[in-house]
Amino acid sequence: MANQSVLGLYENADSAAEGARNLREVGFTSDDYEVMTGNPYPEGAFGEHVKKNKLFRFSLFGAFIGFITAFLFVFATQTAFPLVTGGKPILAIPASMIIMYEFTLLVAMIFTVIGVIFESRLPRPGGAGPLYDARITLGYIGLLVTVDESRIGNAQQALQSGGAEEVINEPA
Amino acid sequence: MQTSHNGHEAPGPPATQDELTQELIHDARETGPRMRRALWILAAIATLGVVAALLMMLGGLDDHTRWKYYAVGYFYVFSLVMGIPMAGIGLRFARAQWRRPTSRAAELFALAGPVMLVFFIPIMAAHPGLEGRNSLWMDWRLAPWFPDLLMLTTFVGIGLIFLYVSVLPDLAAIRDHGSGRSRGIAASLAYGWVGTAQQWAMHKSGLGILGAMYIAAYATTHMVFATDYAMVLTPGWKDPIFPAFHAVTGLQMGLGLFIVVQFALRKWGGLARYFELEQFWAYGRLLLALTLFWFYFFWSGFILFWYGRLPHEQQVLALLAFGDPAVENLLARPQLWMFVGAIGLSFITAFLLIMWNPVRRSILGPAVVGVIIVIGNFFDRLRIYVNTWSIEQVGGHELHHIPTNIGYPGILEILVFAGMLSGVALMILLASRVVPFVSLWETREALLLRVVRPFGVGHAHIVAKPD
Repeated sequence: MANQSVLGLYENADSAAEGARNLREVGFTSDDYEVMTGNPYPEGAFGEHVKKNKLFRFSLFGAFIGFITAFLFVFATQTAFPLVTGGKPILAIPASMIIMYEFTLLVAMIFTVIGVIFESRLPRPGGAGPLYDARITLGYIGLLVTVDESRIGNAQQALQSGGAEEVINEPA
Repeated sequence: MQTSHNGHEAPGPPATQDELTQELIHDARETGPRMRRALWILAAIATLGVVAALLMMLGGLDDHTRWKYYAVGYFYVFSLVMGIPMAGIGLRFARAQWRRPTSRAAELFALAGPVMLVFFIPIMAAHPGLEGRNSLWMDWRLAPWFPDLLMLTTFVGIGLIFLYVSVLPDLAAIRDHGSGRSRGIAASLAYGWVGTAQQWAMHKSGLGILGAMYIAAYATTHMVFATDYAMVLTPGWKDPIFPAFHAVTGLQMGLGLFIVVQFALRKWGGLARYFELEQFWAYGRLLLALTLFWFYFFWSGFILFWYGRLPHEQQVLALLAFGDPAVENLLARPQLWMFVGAIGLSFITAFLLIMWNPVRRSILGPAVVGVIIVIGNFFDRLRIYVNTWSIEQVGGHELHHIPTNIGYPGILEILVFAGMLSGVALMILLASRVVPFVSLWETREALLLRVVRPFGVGHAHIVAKPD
């Protein structure tokens, strides 16, 4: 059966928490719904499932790539123009530190941005999407339930009885 | 406003969600005829600055001493504006709740980066090179041009991306509730942001990681600039403290300017509700600390040279502080007067004012001290760059002559300087037509975390710490 979504809109955090509690009481799990807010709330404030943060992996991978690229670049240029300076080795690490640091930072930055975009599931080609309400950026809280269509009626009921100001169905 | 018995102005009532939307999305976005005129004027001056820089390049890059006032202007504006985002980043790390309404205004200064990048190209091209000079780069033929450009590009890139990640939720709010052209721009930049818990978690981590990178890039860019564009040009100047002095004084003058900007936004920008006594008072304390750091870092470098008394050290002190000792008339020593202006305003006057509680605990006091610091540090960058860029001597273990060919800036240099400042102001004002000077999402979050309760005969603000 195909999945369908329904959005419950709540005026404040207390009523949204009540809505989320209702959903769980009728058998929905924290993986079945996500919370949409106009400002950050503490993670898990509505009982929602928050995926493990993997952003640092992007940054670390970028830093590694940048460092290796810089090392190869420095190695190539210094061996191409082998000038002995002050009796130091041709491939002197202290003299190469700054350029390696710059490359590391640059590529780490690029990978961090990619990570933020990828992990945030952006960009959304259709903009905010059909099941989004502009009141969310006015302080309302949205509970978006995505389940197979046989359970969508239950979800609507749970959202409504949880005090949702409005329940919006996915357009047919 | 309530006034308690000890003269403190109590904070006004916090804005409601509706007021935030009205003030930050609708009112602040209006571009009236005065704003439009100001934008055109700034654009014209910035363009003239770019043209003047091009004309200077056409005039020749062989003689670096021709570029001394360009160097002063460039490194002054760079130091002044590129440290300001640190006020937002550092205080977010420190979880200072009071900084919330001010962070966005600080972060918007990251938009100065592209202007600094454009105006960096001529001064980079005018650098006389490292042949025969002591440098960080061990005779690397691409240095200092390639690594310095790479460093600045990285620094500017991190700043812009940090700003973009920070404004993303506000772009979504403007997409949802804004009007006119700013709404269209916000919608295309918001990338379909809907504010899921996952997106907020990434947003928080992204700001943390990029903020840390900005701090790292700030320190390194100051280090390579201070080294390659000042110390390298001065035979016998070997001072590991100077790059740190350069970075710390950049923070001091940046904070000074930022307080002045907040004062202007409060007075003329209709944002008095967000830039209150609490913010000025807190930034005043930071300004006091940074003013003490100005002297600490200066003194740490100075005392080594002054006590060391080696000939090359004495020449460096003459170049940067006291002027040529062979000139008996003190009035005829320009270096001395630049130094007096720098230490007199950046440290002595600023410290003597900001050390007093009543000055810090006011809105006008920190702003006045901010103006003094901004002017004082102009003298500081003048003494550093006009003197080092006037040196013709290449190589050697000590400076043989203290330059006397300092002269005055010409019309082109003045236009470049005005162009840089106008370019920075233009970028920030243009961005403020789309995103507000006060972060909507951070202010909304603060509203949720803060309640006003009766306390004694007055009221107290109770702030929650969510995690």
